[in-house]
Amino acid sequence: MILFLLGGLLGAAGLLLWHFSGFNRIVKEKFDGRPWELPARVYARPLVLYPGMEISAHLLVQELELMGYQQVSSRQELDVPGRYLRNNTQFILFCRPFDFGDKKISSHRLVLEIEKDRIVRLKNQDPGLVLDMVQLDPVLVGSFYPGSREDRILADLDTIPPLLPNTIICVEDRTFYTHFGVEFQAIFRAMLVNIKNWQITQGASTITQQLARNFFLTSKKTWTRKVNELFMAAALELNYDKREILEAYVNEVYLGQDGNRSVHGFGLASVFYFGKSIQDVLPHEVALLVGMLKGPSYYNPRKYPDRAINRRNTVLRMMEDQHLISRDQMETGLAMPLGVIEKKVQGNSPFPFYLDLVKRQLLEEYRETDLQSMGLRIFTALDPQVQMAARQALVSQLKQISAEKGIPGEMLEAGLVVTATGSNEIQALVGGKKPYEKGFNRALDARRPIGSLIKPAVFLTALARPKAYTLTTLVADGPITVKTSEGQDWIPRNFDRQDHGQVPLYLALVNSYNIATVRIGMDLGISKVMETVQKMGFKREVPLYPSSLLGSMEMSPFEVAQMYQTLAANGFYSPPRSIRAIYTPKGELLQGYPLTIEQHLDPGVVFLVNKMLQAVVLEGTGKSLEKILPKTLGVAGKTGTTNDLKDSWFAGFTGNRLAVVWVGRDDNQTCKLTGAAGAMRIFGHLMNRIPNQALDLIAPENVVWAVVDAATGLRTDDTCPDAMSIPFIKGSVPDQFTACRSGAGASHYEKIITKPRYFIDWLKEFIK
Amino acid sequence: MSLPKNSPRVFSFLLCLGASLVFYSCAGHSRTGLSQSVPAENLPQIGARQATVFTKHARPDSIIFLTEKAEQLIGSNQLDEAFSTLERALGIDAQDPFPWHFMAKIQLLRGNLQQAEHLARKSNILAARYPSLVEKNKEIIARAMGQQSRLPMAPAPPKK
Repeated sequence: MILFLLGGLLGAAGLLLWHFSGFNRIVKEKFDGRPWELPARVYARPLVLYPGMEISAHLLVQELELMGYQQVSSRQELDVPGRYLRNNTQFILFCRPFDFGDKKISSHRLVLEIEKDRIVRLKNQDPGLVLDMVQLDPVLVGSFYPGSREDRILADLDTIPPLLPNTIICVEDRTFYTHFGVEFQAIFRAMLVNIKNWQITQGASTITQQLARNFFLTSKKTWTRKVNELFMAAALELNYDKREILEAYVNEVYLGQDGNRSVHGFGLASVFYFGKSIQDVLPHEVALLVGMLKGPSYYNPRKYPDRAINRRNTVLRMMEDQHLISRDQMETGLAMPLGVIEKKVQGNSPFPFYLDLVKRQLLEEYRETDLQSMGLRIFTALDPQVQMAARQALVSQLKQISAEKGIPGEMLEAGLVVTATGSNEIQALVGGKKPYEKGFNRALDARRPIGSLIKPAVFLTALARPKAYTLTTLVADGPITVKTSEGQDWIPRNFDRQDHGQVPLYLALVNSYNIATVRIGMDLGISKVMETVQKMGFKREVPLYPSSLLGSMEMSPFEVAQMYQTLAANGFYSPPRSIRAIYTPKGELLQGYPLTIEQHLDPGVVFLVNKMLQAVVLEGTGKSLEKILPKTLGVAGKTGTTNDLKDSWFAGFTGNRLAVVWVGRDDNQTCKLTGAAGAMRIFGHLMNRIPNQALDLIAPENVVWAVVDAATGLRTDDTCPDAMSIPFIKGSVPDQFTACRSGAGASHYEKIITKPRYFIDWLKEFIK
Repeated sequence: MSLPKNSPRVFSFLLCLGASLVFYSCAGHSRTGLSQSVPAENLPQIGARQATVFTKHARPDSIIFLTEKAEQLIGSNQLDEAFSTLERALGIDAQDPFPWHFMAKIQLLRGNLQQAEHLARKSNILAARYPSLVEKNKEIIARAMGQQSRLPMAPAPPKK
């Protein structure tokens, strides 16, 4: 019998040991590996401030708000990083520290003054040193969350204020440092209450047990789970020291909900509720956060401020009672408001379309599960000021255009892309008129016929043969019939249904004449033109139909942007970049995406085309842009309109930015808009909202200038009424000279007269 | 009737003035050479007007600060940091030829010869106002092409 009992006991002990070893293995696996799935965080380009920088106070405030900076009204309130004070033209920023991977910035106070939309002074507040340049912490564009939708910012005990872990211990588990994961007395007490009530109403969980439950078990209150919890807690205590357990607890606990993202750990909670780093929380804020452990939803300070403040005050008193804070500190804390910020720091990306682009580029190189769990830090080229301007322009103009044209508001859609002309970094991307909702990303996925946006490719191909084509070569804009590969006749027509006779080549593009373009294109060969299209940056196969010369092929705004980008960059192609660098959570560079360029087109030929594109805006189909943007900006651009006014396009660039806009309908019905009436308006209002540099085209070495009568294409005297100064590729200046044509009508252009010189002119005539 | 005492001097003056005017008007009237490196003054152009003379634009302090910083970093062989500093400079003004030049220099030092060549060419397109920079870029292009064995490498400067 005794042997039987002993055997039974040994068996039970063995079973327990086996059970325990199973839990022990699970605990070690989880803890020694990567305990948490950390979402990848995607950041915008950091705002760099310097004296002379063009930025309006409005744009600065807008970006500070996106960064989660809180405006305060007195210097006293400027006590933690992430706050700013504005006094008319002067801003005092308490900048946050930030780790960029390749460098770290520390928190500091910055004073800057903006006058006439420029920074005129920039200095450190203490000790007042004038600064050349300052980089701020970046706007968080979004995160790629794990399937659990858990989000957290890891904190370690070395850097957080000791008051926080001490308060946790004080409130949740006062014998934390003396028990072995389980407090039997408390369990016994709770059991009595539960048995009395005949249900589990009271728990007696230590911090270790809570951690074990959160980590490995469900929150369901059952006896089995309770027993397993004990095993897990014991395994935790056996393998890890108190400090490690406490740190894990600080990072693990659930502290609230933000849409479908759950807020875990004190690191994220302090940002989520107070807009500040965990390092900067004050005693009453510690009290609130720790108090919320009892029930994050019940004590949600945004939803139930009264409950939250009561709970906070209870904790403050406990803190004082345990001598964690002084009586004065308690009194001060009790008198403080909750201090919870408006819900600005959101889990949902404010820029879902751009985030979509980033994710697509990442998925070419990374697994989705890694993006959702490795805690990568991804630095992008998104410029929040440009992005905000883009979506404001898109939304407001679509609304206005719909109203003006009598198109039902829900019908019109749009997509746009903005790049930096120098680097081809994608600064902004909007995929539809509901820019806060992630949906069909028209900037990337709406492939539509591009219409006349193709024409610069035809003219580039032509001008690359300077012996055959110059800007003033006369081209017949009269009826043409083209045989298609199916043997059918194709007769292109001009938009205005008119034939314009012999026109100088440049006017054919400026006025977007279809017939002249087709004639040039057919002379060059469709395949040659399409080769140019690919050199410009279009990656897919292009169909070789005659109608391709008028843009029957379909492209997305993003693809069009790549083509025009090469023009804006003087013929140099750069791959589009939305990501600048990726860092591991430890700050190691995982991958960098430095700028690369490749010369694809002759810069001289590109110069000639860009001059024509400037003329499109100054005097051609894009002339109405002058109602929105100053002529001095020298915008180069091209309108595009497709059959039956189904698609409205505009692609254009200034000295530093390029934007491509498409407007149309998802059902491919007419939107009743030309390129100028729809897309170009959005372009104009977008560029009008952000700083832009004037486009100052510089003629490359292989370009020379000659005085030419544009109507005949021959050289002429600079006093002739039709004389123009025209750039040519070296060696292609016409040899023939023509005298002033007596029958010449009024000049296409007004002469630019700087000062009267009647006597000299008379003398010239006399000598002639 | 006697001529004033200083009449030869007045006559010479008037003669010079008349000749100058005739030459000036002839100069303006003479059929300009087949082509010029800058557009003719006061005539319309296609698109925005180009400057008839090259003037050096004042470079913003921020660009000067960043390019100087990049130069120092290149000097201390911190090429990655120098490159990203220059990318920041391009973010301020991508039409400034100096950041492109120093990027070309960095790529040459790294042995990324094609990039060095393309970047130097890009810099040269923007450097019309800086002849000495054009020469430096040409040197980079020659060395990059030489090392790619596409053309003989530019001769090394004589040792002192």
